[in-house]
Amino acid sequence: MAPSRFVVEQGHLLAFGRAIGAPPPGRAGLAALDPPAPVPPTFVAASALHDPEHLRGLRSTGPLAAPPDGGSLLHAEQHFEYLAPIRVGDVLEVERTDGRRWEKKSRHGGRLRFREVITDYRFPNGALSVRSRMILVETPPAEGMP
Amino acid sequence: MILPRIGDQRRAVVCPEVTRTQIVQFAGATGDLSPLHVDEPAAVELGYPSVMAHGMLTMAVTGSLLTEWWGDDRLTAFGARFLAPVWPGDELTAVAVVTAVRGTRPGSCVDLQLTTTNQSGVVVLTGTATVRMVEPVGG
Repeated sequence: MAPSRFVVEQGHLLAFGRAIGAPPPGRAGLAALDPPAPVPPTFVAASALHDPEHLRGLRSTGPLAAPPDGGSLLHAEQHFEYLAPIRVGDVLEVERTDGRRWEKKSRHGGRLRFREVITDYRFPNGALSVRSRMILVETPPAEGMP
Repeated sequence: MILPRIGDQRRAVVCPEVTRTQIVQFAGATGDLSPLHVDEPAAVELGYPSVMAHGMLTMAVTGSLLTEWWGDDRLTAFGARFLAPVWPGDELTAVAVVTAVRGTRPGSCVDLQLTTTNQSGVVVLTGTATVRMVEPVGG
């Protein structure tokens, strides 16, 4: 798929920080330091908000789209590699590629379908900042992982 | 520089109580509006007792233990497996343990094993992280 653009905005970071219980940044804001403070380690996972195709029609799209057979889509694993910190004001290019796919039998005899999604976050000069590897699993109803 | 040793650890309650409001806040901040997280009747219809927290929310609060210990720009790798659901009302406690110290100078690396449990002791997340070695925050 075509890369999307991820502008690291102070308001978005504030909302993310609030949701994870981070201490408030103070009146001067997140950009007050020179250089600005790095974003939290998992913040890039919020880049979907900047994908113009995401949630079009109020349905999840891309890797988080609901399975067609009515089961659940669960996030089994997440891995990040960090090469350079991301700060308020950075503009990143986000490129997603599909990785491996495999299947396992669940404890209840159902079929679990795993797939890997690799996402690269690059600065405008092409330098890689963060590589994300997400492992998703499609399960029959209520075979429970988060 | 204070050198970490294998077995050094930090433990913290990283989320005193997961609430539905927090789950919805996280959904809004990340764009992950899966019905499992934000639509209670749909989650129940799928066989779950209620909505559940995002695995990424558990990972994010676990990450706060790392950044408080090592600073916010030292991570070179951070990975997690989401082993059990996190429900509204859960209290999450994270533990990070040093498993390896590679080198003794700044720029060397420390490997960590991560475990996050709920108030019943159920492990909801295991993971690993690597930080570039500088003096830990707070010594």
